[in-house]
Amino acid sequence: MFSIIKYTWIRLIRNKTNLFWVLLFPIALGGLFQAAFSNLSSLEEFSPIPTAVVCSGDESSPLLTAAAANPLLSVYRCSSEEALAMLEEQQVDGILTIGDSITLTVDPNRSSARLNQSILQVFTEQCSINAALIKEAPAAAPALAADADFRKEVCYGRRWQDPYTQYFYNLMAMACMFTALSGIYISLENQGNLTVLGARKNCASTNKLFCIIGELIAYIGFEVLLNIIAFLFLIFVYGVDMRARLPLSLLTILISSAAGVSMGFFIGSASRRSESIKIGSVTAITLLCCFFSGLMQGNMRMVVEQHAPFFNRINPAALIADSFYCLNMLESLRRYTVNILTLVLLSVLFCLGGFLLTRRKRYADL
Amino acid sequence: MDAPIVKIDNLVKRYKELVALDHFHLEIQEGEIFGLLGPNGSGKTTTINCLLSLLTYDKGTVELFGRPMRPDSYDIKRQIGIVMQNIAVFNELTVYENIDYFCSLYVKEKALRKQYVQEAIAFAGLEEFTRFRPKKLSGGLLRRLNIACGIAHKPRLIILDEPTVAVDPQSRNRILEGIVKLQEAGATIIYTSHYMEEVEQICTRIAIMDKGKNIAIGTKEELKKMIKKSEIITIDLEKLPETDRKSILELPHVYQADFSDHRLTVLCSGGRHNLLRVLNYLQEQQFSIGHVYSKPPTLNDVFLEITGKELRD
Repeated sequence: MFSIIKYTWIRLIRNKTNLFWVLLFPIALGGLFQAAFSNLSSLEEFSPIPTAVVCSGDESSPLLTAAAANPLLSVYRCSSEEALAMLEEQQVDGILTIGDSITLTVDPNRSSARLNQSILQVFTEQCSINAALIKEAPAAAPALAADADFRKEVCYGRRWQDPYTQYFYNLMAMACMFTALSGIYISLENQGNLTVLGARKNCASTNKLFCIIGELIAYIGFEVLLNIIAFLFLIFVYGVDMRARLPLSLLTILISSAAGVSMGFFIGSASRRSESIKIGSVTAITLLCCFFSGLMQGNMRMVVEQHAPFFNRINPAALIADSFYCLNMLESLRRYTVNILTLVLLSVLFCLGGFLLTRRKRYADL
Repeated sequence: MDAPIVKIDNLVKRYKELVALDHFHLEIQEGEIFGLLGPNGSGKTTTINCLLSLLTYDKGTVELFGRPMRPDSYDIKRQIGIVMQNIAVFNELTVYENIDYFCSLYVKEKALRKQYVQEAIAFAGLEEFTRFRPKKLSGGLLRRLNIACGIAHKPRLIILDEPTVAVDPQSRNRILEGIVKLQEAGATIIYTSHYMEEVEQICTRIAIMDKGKNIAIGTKEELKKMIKKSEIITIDLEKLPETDRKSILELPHVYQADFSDHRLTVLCSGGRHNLLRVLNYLQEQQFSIGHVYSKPPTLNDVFLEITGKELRD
């Protein structure tokens, strides 16, 4: 068993195709994702609205304090003439005149500042209501001033995370699924009717099942290692925010790689087709699973969840991506545990299917 | 006589309508180099695959070392070495690693295996190439690696299925010499080929196969005695009148005499001094004699006479 594992590892290390698909391709694709999505995230950042504030009354008005303290606004205190000049030169998007009441002046012809003008309008209306309340109950002034901040970040999960991180969950799912490509060779190289190597091994005095188990251990171990390297690369080099519950993430990679390798072993054993047809089939199945888990279209998993939820429960790529999501986003590990147990079950079924299909020891034709 | 090391009895193998082995019988004694000779498609490789329990068969029995051969006969498999017709090595492993890997499928003890691998490398003459990967090896070296992988575990029975296909003459000679050495070291060899010269050169007994049947079996001398032809005489002549051709045909042991393209071909069945008698006649008739050839019949002649077709048809 040791020499089977040792030489399988040596072969895998020297197999550049496997290294490319399982290690380099996810890293390269991760780099592209990172380059593309980091720009998208920066576009979503909110810039404070340049606003001129003209005081036409009491300098100690709580409305002045509220405007200055509001993070939505970038306030320039000035006279009304200066404010109008700044508005004309488009240095500010609006003028707040604060006295007994608060009024907003905007340029109605500036369509590019329409959103900011709307926000200023809402702010003005809120301040007017607050000013009326302060008149009636001056003691409420500090609390009302603090409430003037409309921006509030709401986190529905365990913590806040960039929504584009889901693409990296899917990327890891794809990397784990691509291990199926190497799993094909376990069947090819142990079936006497598929390759000459298989025939030679079938003639040897080592039990066939023993050979297959040894190779499964070696393949899974090696692919896990490659996937862990790719995963750590995404986290520590690209800075992808997936480091929550790291030990469980590594467990996910272990089980996902086992599912991938065993799926390849099963598909490889299922027919007598040529090596290239089997590789093509596994690639197509893998990419299809990844497509439905949302690798190419972010909301695809949600679409599947609405129309065919059972598919999400058995699609290995969806289960892997969802497991990473659960680890990073959800407090409870219940859904994660169900996903992982399903992946384990799939691996066992694939292995059993592969064993049953390869257990034949004599062939009708070679 | 000892019990045969290989015994195939009444073996029938069909591929749908095609009968690949037709009630095939074979017995091989320990220590033989047994040649399975036949044209492509005659059933040699099918015989080997049935022998190794790789193929199912429709009828018959296969016994190795006095016991029925089954797919899980691992104790029997331990004593068999197989060299496939096609190269069966891992391209990612070096020469040493390939031999060690295949040896490890038979020999678990590491120290013993190391010794066996070194001996196999020396046997195949691959000492200078142990760190090479298969893609860097020439066709001949690759064949030798294929053989080394099959024999490293020191099997008692070695099956070589056309091991010299597409090999240069130098490597071919080395392989043939190696096979004889293996036999001298105590192994029994089954050697399949459609190259009659190789089979004649090394095999102690030969079975000639055609259409899944064993059509003749014996030593090369025994096989040649099975046919009428024992000597073929060829003489280059300017001309030969028909009367002289008929006179030659009447010489003792001559059963056929043909003249065409300035060449006289005389076939003799047994007897001695046939060439001398023919030459004496031609000299007496004062013919101008060119090149003269005399050769015993080949296995191809045996095959031709039994089946009516050439071995390489």
